[in-house]
Amino acid sequence: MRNRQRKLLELLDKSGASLHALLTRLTLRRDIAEELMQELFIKLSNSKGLQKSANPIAYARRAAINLAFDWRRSRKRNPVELDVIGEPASKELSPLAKLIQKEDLEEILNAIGRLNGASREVLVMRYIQEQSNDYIAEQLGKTAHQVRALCHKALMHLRDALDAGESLSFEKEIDDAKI
Amino acid sequence: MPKFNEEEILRRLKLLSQLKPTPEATEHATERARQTLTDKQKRRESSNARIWRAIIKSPITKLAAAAVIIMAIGLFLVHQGPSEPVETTKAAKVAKSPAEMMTAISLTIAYRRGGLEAVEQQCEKAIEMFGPRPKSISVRELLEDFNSENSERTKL
Repeated sequence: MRNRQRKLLELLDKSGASLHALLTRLTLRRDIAEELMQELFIKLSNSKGLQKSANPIAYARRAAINLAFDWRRSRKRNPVELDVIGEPASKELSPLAKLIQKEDLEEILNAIGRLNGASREVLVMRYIQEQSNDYIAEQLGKTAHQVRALCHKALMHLRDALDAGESLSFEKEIDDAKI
Repeated sequence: MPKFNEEEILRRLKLLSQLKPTPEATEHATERARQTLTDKQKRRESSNARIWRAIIKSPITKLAAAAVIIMAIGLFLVHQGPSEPVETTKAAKVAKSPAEMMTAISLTIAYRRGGLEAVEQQCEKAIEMFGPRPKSISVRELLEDFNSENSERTKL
């Protein structure tokens, strides 16, 4: 038991910052990222999978990604956002432009959430965490060439998911107008 | 025609990758997670200790412990008690004095029980029971010894 606790604290020291950054990017909420960070480590402390896993960092990252997208799915609406993080590129943007940018990010994150586990993980690692193909290959137990192919495929799926989401929201607008 | 081209997707993903929490926020979140883990461990340990305390304080446990101790003592006594050699016990039961041990009946019983070896052992036992004897004895002493044995027999 103490051994597991020690391993978790080591993991927190080693990867805590990167996991928190990942959760912040996937939730776009500082407060939620902090909550999910706690939830993540509680889950990891109860999980037997972490002990069995050959790569605890990869296991923790996968758990964080799942947790963040579960939160996105469970959140039907987000009427009040008190603790939205400030985008670095939006300093010179007007409030309207900021709002549009935020919507864009929410839209792409929701689309990523609709992808299957493997595509989602590869996309997050390659494009959101900006990790190299070699590193991703090492983490996923694949070759760099396979990772490149997976990334390309995942981008195609993401485009389809975005288009599907767009048509869904358009249909919803028509239904709302009818009512 | 799809609305989202690859450049647009990559632009949005790039924006996402540029989002960074402040070092203070990261520090705070990490510290909270560490605190949660430590508290959880402490809670778990105290809950284990509470369970043990409850078990130890329970009257059923005390009763069970007492029963186990009694059984252990009983078993110890049974196994560690004086073990009586079978041969001598049987011999003592059959013949109590060296003279009786050397009678024909007693020696026959010993022979049936263990053959010549048992007869030999019984003889040695009888000699041991006589104890050390002086190398030479006078007729007077012999008569006194004989008379004393006879008087004991008449008393019995």
